[in-house]
Amino acid sequence: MNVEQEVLNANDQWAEELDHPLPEHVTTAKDSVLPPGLGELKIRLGVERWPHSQEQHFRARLADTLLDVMRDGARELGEEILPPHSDVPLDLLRSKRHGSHDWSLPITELERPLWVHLVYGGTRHFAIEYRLAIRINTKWGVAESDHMTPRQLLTSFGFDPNDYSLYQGNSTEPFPPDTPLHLKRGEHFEAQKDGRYGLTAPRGLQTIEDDIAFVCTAGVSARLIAQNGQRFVEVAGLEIPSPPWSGPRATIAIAVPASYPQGGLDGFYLEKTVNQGGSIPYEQPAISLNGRTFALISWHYAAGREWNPRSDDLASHIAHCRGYFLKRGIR
Amino acid sequence: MNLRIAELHWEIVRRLVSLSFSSALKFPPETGCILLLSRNDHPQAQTLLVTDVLPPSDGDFTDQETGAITFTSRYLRKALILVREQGLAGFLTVHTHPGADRQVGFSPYDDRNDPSLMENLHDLQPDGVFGSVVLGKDSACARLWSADKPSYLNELIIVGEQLKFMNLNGRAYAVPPSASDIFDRSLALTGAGALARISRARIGIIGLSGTGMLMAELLMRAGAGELLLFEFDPADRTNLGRVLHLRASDADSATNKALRMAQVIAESGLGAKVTVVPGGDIRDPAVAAELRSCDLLIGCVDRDWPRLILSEVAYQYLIPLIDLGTEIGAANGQLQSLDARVSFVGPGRPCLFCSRVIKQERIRLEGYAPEEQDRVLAMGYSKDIRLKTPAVMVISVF
Repeated sequence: MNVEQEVLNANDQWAEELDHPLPEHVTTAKDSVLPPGLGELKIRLGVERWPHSQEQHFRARLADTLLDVMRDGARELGEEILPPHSDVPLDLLRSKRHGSHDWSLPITELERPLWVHLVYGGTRHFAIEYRLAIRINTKWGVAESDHMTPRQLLTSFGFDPNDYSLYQGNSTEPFPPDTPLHLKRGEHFEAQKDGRYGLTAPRGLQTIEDDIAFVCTAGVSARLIAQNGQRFVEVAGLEIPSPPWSGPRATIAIAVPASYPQGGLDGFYLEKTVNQGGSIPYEQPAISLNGRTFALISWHYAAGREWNPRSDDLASHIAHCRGYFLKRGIR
Repeated sequence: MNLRIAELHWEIVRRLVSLSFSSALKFPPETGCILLLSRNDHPQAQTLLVTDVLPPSDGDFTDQETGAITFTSRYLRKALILVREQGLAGFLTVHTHPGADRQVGFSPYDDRNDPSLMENLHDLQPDGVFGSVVLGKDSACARLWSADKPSYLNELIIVGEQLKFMNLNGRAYAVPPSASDIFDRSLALTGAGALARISRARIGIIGLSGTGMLMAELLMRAGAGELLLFEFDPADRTNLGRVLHLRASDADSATNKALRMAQVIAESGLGAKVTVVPGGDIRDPAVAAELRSCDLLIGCVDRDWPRLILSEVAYQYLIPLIDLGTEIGAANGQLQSLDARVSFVGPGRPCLFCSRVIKQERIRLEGYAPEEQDRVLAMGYSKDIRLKTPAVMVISVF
């Protein structure tokens, strides 16, 4: 009988009894490696569903990783961990604390060998916390609850519900976005995107950058500037009637809400380089933009002709602003 | 890579997008559809094939206006499910830019949105082929996407009563290309561009006997770019009276007739590249696979089974087939008939079954081994398919 076999035989009792103290030659392996051959020793382990179920028993090699243990334990419980074949399961593995019915926090180092887990105080009683793991396209994630709307699901998986719809299997009918789904573990959904094409972005879906690019192609000198987290479109060289204005061109700045274009544009700032006989009509407090002084002009859309994201854009708002210089309201 | 489409499908596309180019509308809307694709993955002729047009139903487009169109996820999904169910290669979205005429291109808005759509489609169907086409009135631009990068398609080949070609780089062809001056004197017959097309085409000739040798000769002298020859029969003395270029020495040495023709073409100095397909029998699937590399097939076989194979390749891969047949009918030593036939086979045209050129019974008999053929013929229900009728060069020249 060789040394290796002797060690294995000496561990028979320990291998069978889940709560048997660790043999000395295992505990002394703490900072080094297991004695030769011991890694192949299969020991009995317990596993149950977290937080509590009937404990089932199975065997694992001391050299197995905790991920191997988790997979084998899940098989013993009759339910594989998810995602299948992943090295980073969404389900969680815990082990019971010594002399207690309490469970440890989820074990994060699943690549750690079983024997290291035991040497560092872990027990041979494990529990698997099965979570509500679902898949959308190729992404796996854990649903926050078993009743979520498609909109919530898409958002939580990083899909913009304005662009994507949720489908099941090979269905061609999308789920209604705001009707909660009863989610089951392991379910697979597909997020399908809309296809947007066109010479220009559809009104109501464009960005301010789209609109700036468009007005620039029409010969307007416009650029986006930002100050303290607020974005403005600066429109330079705007032709204005002179007289009555003191100069033929003006520079204006239009504050852009983050919610543009649904949150519309309103009013504007006028760089104080022009005036009408020394004053500026509808002038409100001034601000400094890039070291230049701009007066806020209280120039709003008329009642009944509010900003409409489906038809208005930067170009139409500049036209609205020009009405101020021409002394006319929006038409 | 080229895109092939049957003329009848192309007509459906043009009809679906016609509103975008209507002169009656001041602000015509963008329109579109989806093209379902299969693939010819022959290494020398990688081509996408439009298998069907998926027209939009009510509600399949939103935000449809002069400058924009949105394909709903539901419409794209219908296409994706068809791809999965029918084992297709993928699909192309098609949309229009109404103001574009002989020049069209993807807009910055298209460029910004296509990558995320294509990434989504590849996420859902990792091995799928997905891309987009933008149409002007007389122009088109098409691209496929992989790994966030577009690759542009070369040419749209519309296969129907004629072969029509459309540039897929966004610009309409300015003038038809011209052929080498050797072939100038044929222009009056063929029209501008046709000979240049032949000079760039890979033409398969299947069967190199009386008719096939003549076709090879004619195509060589019309400036064909490349001839792919399929023939498995060696020359014998019965061929000498009707097969062009065959010499007695070829018959004596049982030279493959295709090899003899290749020799003639090489010696002609007319520039045609020639390839003799090893084996040459298109009833062998590996040999038949080479048919997919051709732009045009010329069938000069005298059996129904190979004619069926050619016909199937023509429809499946959108490669036009010109099938030729000659027959001298004789009975009791008396001449009964002289027939010559040219069938143009391809999408939108009747197949060789429909036009009764080939028959199920003959295909079945041809598939039997000789002993089984004898047994079946002995039963008296089938007509003998073995060639015993006379053949002369004159009728091939017809």
